[in-house]
Amino acid sequence: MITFRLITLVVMLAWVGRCGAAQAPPGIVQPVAMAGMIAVSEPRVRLPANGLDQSAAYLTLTNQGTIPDRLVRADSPQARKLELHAHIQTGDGMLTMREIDYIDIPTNGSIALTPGDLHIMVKGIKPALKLGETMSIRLTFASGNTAQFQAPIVANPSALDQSLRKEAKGHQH
Amino acid sequence: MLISQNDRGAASENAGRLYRILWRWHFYAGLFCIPFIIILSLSGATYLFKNQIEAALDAPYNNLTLSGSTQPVSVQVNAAVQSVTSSRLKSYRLPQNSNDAAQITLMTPQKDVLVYVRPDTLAILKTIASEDRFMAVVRTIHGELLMGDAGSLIVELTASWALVMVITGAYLWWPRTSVGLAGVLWPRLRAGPKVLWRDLHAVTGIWVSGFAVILILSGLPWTNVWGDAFTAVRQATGTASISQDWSQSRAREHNDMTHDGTHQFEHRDLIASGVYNSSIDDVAASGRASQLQPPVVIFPPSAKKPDWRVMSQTQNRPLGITLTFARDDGRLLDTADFADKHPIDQAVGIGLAVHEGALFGILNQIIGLLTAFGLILLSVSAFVMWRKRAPVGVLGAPPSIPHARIGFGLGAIIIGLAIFLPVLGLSLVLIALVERIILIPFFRGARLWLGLSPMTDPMTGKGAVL
Repeated sequence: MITFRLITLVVMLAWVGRCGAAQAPPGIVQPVAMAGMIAVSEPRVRLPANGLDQSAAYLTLTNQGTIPDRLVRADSPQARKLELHAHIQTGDGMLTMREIDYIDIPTNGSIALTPGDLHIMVKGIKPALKLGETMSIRLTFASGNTAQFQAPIVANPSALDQSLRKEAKGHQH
Repeated sequence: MLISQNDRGAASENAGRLYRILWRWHFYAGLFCIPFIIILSLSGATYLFKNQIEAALDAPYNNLTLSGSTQPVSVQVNAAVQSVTSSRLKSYRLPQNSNDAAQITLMTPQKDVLVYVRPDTLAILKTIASEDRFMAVVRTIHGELLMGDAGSLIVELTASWALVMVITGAYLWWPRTSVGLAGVLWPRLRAGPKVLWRDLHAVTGIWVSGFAVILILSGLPWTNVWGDAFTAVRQATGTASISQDWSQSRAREHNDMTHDGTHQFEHRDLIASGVYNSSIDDVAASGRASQLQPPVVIFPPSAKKPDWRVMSQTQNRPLGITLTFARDDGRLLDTADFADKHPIDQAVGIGLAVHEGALFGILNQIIGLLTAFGLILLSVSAFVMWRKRAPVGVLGAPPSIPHARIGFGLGAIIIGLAIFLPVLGLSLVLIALVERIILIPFFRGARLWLGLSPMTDPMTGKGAVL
């Protein structure tokens, strides 16, 4: 019957449309450097606390190509050593840090180094860094490509939050 | 279903009475529904193309030529908050492209404000109250006719009575005397204007009715009365979801966010310097890397929800995902996607996506648009027929016939519908009361004009208005 065929046609078109209904996800911020097809974006180094010469650096790596790659090394002339670290959740819910050898970057995908997950441990920072300055970082990948860029020094959230939580006049924290 | 009589003449008389009963109900319900169905169809048809329309409206703020590097999200947020007095961050929407303006929603004591910020110079490009956005206004027209809860009730009544119109309309349409399918599945264009308008109405009705029923049923969770009853039934039967993720009115949407009092951050510092604490810059980076369906919105910690949330607010709800990151150290606490939802919530989510034209791409939008056009054509053709046929001096309802009865089957259907659609049941009771207490004893002239039955037999219950 016509109606049955019409319904079947609509359902088939709907199914086809369904597969194509997904939209492109929000894109990455403009990269600061490229290593082959790997884009480095949003780099930031946290301000070390008074007296400490260690800190953490975060960034996003995006593989815009189809060949897998991995971050294997990081260094900086302004610090003695940079290591790749991961936060691992242990059985009792505690977070521990562990050095890792590499970070895989998925093809046509991104991996974000963020607190609570992956980061670059920066050790032996010298001379001391201040807000508004930058740290020169070079990343080396398994493919042999490198990326060099300036990462801004950013404040830690406990200081940032005050400005984000600007409330009604007269209501101070 | 009809009164069982072995006499064929009596049976066809009963069929005629039933036809007349349903036709009169179809007419009276139509008088109420027509203006609101036109409003709902126009606003709904517009809302179907929300993404395309908003992309066009936002075009001046997207694909900008940047004059420097992009500032961090936290700096963009700060610029927005500084530009609106007494404001704080409600949400940050990830820009689709790196050279789009950031869309930042701020809370103020009165209302939410949307601020467009250039990512490079931090210039404020546009500031508008969220509820004043074009598609927000369209949505408020569609959901509550710009009249708050009273409007929402009218919309729910329209939807409920529209269902009655589909059912009675299908009965009226059923071919009895037609030859072939002309006037049944396609209109007779050359049989004169009276037949043409009747056919336009009946033929459009039968083609659109299935889709109209889908629109009505899928929209019910958004209503106040049915929506609250639905939630109550689910709680009573133990099938409730943890939290409802569709909203029922503007007032409720606002209340959910205004109880956010002072934040008392307790830092579980792994290292006291806070280098392992998470800021909005980190959550935004995680959100981007997760490649969720747009629009992707970041919510900072609040009193009700103490962790960061990155939420895909896609209208295609089966593709929606919410990521929860710990407030302090930013580790991923939870990934909630469609499959995690209760099956009832999944069904409601699919219904809402179909209703908004977002489940299966452009075809969904087109089907919705054609349904809206069909409903408008139904309304217009009904109005034309009414004006052409109505005698001078009366409303023009199809005349009642004597001894009209509601049989057991029809009565059961009416009661079933009245229970399933509470506002329908309440309005039926109200109509019966008004008729019996006000119109029958008084206002005889009004009764005649309305075309109500002159019979006042108290034994027939609602028989007088049939």
